[in-house]
Amino acid sequence: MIKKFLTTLILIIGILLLYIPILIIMLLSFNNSQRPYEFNGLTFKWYTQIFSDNSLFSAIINSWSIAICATIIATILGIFIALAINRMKQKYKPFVMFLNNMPILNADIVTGVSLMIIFTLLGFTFGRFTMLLAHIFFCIPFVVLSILPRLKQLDNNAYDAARDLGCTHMQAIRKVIIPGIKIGILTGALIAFTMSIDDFIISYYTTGEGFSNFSTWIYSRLNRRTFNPAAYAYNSIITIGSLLILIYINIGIRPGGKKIEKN
Amino acid sequence: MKKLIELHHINKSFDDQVILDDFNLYINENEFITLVGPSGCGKTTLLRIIGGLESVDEGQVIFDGKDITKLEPNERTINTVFQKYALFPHLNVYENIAFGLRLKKVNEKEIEELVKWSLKLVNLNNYEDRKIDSLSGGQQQRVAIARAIVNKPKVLLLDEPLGALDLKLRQNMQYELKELQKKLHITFIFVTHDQEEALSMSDTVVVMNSGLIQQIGTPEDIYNEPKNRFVANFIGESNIIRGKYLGDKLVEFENVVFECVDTNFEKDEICDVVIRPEDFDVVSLDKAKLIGIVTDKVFKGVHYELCVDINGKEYIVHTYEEAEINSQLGLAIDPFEIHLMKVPQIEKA
Amino acid sequence: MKKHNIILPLYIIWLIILVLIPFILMLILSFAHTDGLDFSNISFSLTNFKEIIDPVYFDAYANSIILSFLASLICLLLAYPIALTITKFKNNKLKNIILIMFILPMWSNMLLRIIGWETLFQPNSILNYFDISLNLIGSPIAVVIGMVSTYLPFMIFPIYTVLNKIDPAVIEASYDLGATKTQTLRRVIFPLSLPGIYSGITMTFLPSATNFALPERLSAGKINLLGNLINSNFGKTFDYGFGSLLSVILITIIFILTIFINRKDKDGDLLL
Repeated sequence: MIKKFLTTLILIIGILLLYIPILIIMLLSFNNSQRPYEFNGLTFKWYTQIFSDNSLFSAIINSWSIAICATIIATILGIFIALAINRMKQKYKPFVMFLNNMPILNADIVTGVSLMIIFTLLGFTFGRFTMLLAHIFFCIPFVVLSILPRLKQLDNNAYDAARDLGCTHMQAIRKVIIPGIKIGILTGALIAFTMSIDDFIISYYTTGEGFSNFSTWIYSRLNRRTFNPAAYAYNSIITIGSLLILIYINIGIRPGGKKIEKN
Repeated sequence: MKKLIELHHINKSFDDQVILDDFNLYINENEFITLVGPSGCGKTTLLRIIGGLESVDEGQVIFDGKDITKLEPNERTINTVFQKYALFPHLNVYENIAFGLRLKKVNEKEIEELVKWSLKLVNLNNYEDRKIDSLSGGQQQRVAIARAIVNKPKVLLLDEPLGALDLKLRQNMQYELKELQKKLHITFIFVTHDQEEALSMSDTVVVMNSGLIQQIGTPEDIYNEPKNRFVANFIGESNIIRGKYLGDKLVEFENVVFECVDTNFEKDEICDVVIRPEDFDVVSLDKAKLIGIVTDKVFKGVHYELCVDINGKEYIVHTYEEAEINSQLGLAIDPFEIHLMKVPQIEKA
Repeated sequence: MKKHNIILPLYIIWLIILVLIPFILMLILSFAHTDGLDFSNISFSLTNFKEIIDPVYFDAYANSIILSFLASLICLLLAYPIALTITKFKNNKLKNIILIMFILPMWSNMLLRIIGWETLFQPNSILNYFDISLNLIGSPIAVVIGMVSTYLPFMIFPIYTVLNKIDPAVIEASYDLGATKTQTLRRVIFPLSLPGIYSGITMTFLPSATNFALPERLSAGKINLLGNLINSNFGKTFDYGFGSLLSVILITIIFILTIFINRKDKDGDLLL
């Protein structure tokens, strides 16, 4: 009884810790006053300003375009890299896996600084291109790491069987291996996208020439008059939107799935 | 013999699906009892109920005269050897086996002796320091057995423990388990879907199907005198023929009258006749009671398995002599090889 | 099966350029004094090493270790029972909803979530309407709450993953051998979940110590952590040598942790 009470309490504390700031952002997004400590009436004006504030809107578009491009490129490359790592000799695997895991384990600030140093020495102009490159760099390891366990589970003979039955090398990969690791690819792509769209520190170090994504836009305007509460409004839309999508995926599809199980 | 475990009116369902239906069973002390049946017959659930890993909807589990229905598994002096061994991957062989003893606060010296003793019983001397993932399936199996018996339970439950082993190893382990049970003088309750395993190891066999006991008896009883079609078909191979009891130890089937040994039937009662494939005698045509045509022949090593067509029905016959396909074959049956079974009431009409 | 031989060497070269070479450069910079990345006036010395033991920075080191340690500990104490509770849900729908509840906050911008706390911790906040003034800005408590709130999911998921993988038969075997629920938790479940805990700590401790925006906002610049030191050296004072030395030390710590985790987690699937 006491144990049950305690675990429920911990669950509630955990959820509160995660949701209090989000709820406050939502509250601020409806606050008529621009000063966060006073509340003088509801308004929707910040929601319309998402589109009218040019610098904010382009930062949002940049966030999305960088995240989408980085996810697609990292996923495609990640599939082939994972396939190659899966087949490589055990002897060299730990070295490659170590290099691969480094961007995940490394502190974001160290990754950001490292990339800044190397991009400077390579003579790159900082901006859209360097940020995209950086995002691709830290997205690939996530894709590789989510595909590798699936590849391990896949029957080693599946590829050989496909070749035996007349597939070319690429056909065998497309028709047998890719479907077998589909869940790993989707998880990897989802994690990559999540990491990319919310990234601040690495983006901060690899951007320049006034190019900003949503996070760097916020950081550069904190404590300034140019900070527009429309950012709160946009964030609230994203939170509610992703909630609805996740609920739809997890609950909307399950009842049908359960029926099949029972039969 | 003393009754050690009594199961009274056990009912158990999962999501409206009845697994055990008013189930009653007694298990004696020092008995090697095997629960055998097809998958889904409720045998594993029954074992888990005895071990306390599953609760009952209704009924009572009595152990050594005491009601243990409500006791948690850790409060029962019963130990289990799990299907896929369920060894603790983070502990080595020694610590796996010592796990139960440490919980009972046995002193270290005694633990050491007991672990050595149990490893010796399962023929794994000097394996104490080995890691679990460095052991073969057969060795893991032995550690799982040692981990259970080191606690000196009165009853050892074994849930299809040999299922994952290859044939040769399985046969060795069957023999060793039987020996182990004799040495330890405790009750083994063994669950399997392999009828051969059930016959070769047990003192008592319980044949189960869809949550009900089909027959309980010694392996010989079950094989020679199956009570119904399910048992006759599940345990070994059988030819089952509809016949009529004529009284005075005479039975008629395939339009021929045979002598038999059963007596507990009414005159003119419809019955099922069971003849094991190896109980047919191949004889010359003039001495034959049944004549059929050989339609198929498979060499099985010790014997040939023949498919014989008699009056349009197919019979399986085991014989040491070869027979040509499409040739005529004469068959006779000794009276004591003919076993009669009651026909279920519904089918008589 | 030999057709993809090019992609792997290319990826390794890519990783060497973006991971290994910057590390070597920072290692060189640790012993050097330069004007940013202009190597023309480079001079080698050990001044960076002298600077690192300058007591001015001790506060930052101590804060980084103590506050990040506290945050990771609180994360662990919260995450373990939460992960354990989630694995025990038999109803899959409910299980998914709870899991979603802990994933969802990650779709909300991290900086804005920190600003959310900041507005609440200010002396003047909407809580004034309830006659409450938390006035926590600048206190270590505010920083720790921010860290826990930001990184809690990164502790929950690795632990949940390992707990979910434990064979239920192993837990049954423990009960069968006489262990109570508490004994089973201590002797079987907890040791088997250690890899998840190690990986969870790496995913919370280091980011807590190196996220410079979080202490900037929640301590109003009063509390500096490792991240702030590195950030100010690279971003403001352009003292690349000192920043590099700090980064190299961090990488070394991470390197040791990686080896430790790789030994425990052979599949590498706990990092996700």
